[in-house]
Amino acid sequence: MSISSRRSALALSAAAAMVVLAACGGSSSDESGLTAGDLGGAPEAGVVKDGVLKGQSVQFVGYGGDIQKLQVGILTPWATKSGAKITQDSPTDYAKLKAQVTAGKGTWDVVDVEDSWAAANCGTLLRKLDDKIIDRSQLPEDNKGTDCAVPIVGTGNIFAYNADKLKTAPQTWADFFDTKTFPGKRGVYAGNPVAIFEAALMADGVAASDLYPLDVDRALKKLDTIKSSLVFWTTGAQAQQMVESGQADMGIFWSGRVLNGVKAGANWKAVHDRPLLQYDVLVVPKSAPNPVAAMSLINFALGEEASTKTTEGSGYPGTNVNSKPKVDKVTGEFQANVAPFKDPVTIDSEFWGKNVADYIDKWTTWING
Amino acid sequence: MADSSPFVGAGARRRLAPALVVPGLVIIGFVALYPLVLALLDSITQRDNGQSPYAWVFDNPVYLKIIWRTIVTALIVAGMCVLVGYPLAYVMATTRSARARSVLLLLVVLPFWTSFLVRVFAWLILFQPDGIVESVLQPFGFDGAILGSVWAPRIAMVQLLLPFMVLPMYATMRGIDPSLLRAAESLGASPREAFARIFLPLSLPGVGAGCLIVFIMSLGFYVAPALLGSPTTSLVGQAVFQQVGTLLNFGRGAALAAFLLAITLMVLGIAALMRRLLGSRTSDA
Repeated sequence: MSISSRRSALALSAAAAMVVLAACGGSSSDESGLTAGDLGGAPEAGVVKDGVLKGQSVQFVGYGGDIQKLQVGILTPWATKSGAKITQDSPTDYAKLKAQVTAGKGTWDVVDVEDSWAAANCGTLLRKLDDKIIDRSQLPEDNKGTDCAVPIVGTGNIFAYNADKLKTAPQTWADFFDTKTFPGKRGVYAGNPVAIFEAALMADGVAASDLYPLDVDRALKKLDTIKSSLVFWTTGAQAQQMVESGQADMGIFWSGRVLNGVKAGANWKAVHDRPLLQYDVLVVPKSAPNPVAAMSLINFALGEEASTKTTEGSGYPGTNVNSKPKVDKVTGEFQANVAPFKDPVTIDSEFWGKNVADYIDKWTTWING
Repeated sequence: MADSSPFVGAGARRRLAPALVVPGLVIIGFVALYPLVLALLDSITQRDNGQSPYAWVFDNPVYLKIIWRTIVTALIVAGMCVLVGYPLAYVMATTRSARARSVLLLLVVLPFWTSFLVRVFAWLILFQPDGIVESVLQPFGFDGAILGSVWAPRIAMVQLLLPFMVLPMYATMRGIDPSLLRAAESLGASPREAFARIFLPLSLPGVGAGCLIVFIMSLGFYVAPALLGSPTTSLVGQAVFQQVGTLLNFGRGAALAAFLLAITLMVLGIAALMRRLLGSRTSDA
């Protein structure tokens, strides 16, 4: 292809992108005129073509700390291969993201957010992800993400307990609500009622397949029975502290935080009954300056290798179905999406996205009651 | 009064005065008033499924409860600051030893040089289960967890805000002419009577100023209650954060903040009224 025909092809695709833009109110076209077509054909998770993004730059935003270091390390081969550059910011801050979109001018291209938040803000703050750039085929059947988000790493909301305090091991969610057989303080997340409502309903006999739409009044009634035994945590660090300090004897925690506590010497064990899985998803804000490159990076993050490295590096489950991470025995005990955990339940992020504001009012009323 | 300035003639001063306040007003206007107006507009114009943010507050009485709890907490913190701070300020203001005065002043000001967050984390450590505070309280029949109780943030807030109470009281007390007390005693008043009838009333403006600052600052506290308290006893700051920071509902967050603003203005109004009443009474006397 001669330079001039290449240039006219570019111009044509740019013009086509403008039409698409006008037609469906914004899809993946760059300020630089880059389009999905420039990435070199049909997408495959984890694969990026050589040199297609030379001179481009993508800003990745995560929650900071070790996990972001790990994430950026995993994504670096994408940059090397495509010729693009990764810049970073942290932490993820929804208000800041909204401010960038409202101002119509932002720097964030790819942001690591919670799945229910992404579901609630799809189309308003977040761009629809382009199937021509992102390949979802290697995601699990029941967890393909939403229009604006793809899952990259899971968190199990698991029932864990202090094995030094509890002489008999609890077995099921029902045991979490049995304060007679298993007395003790129960640590639960206070920021929102995601997972605890599901846990209460399952303990009350609702089958995992019948959870949604959630019967909130029934869940709160069940929770009334253990209210005086609850202690609340609001950050992952607090959860871990509860595990290590003995402030709680059991609780519903993010699996990785219990794992950290165990690695620090706490004798805690996981109950392997129906862990409630939530996912961190990657999204592209509407204000992203480089959406095409951003989605290319997201496509890379969905690959088998990225998924394997994520699990091996963090202990949290990745989302690629072909991934076979090798983890040590202790970490394996807290891998909420695989055995020995039985029948993992994926929390319905779209349902929560729609209802979280109302349920937080009910939850706040309940815990302050 | 203005003519008495030895430095600038009255005319020059009158001409300069507006120019002098411009930089301050510009900063206040941009960083305080402008965002405040935007937030209030949000709280008035926003609708969620047709519901205004204020209707939402009244529909969920838990938020009124949280606002009330915040007011009570601010009153308790201000009260405790007076109890702890008044004797301290009194000693600082009346001691004859200049060295003792500077040491005490240093101790009061010292916390200003430590990060606010660090001090909250320090309390987090002190309040640990079976930690120092709990083991000190246990002999007095205290049984239970202090961390996560409504008292943990209150105790920490007293320590965090104490300088804002002590410094205005100290400044006022230093301005009280000691010869007034000597005069009272020479006229037959006991030291206790002299304190109660001369010193105490004269120090009240300082107490009032300190209470105002501490009360108003307490209303907006977020970090201490978030880290030391429990969501079961949350304060308005936490509720605002939940709406703005996690739900991105700026209107509802602004509505909650508007309640704080209204309370603050009310308190300032009452203070101004009291000052006028007290002021007129002293001038009558």
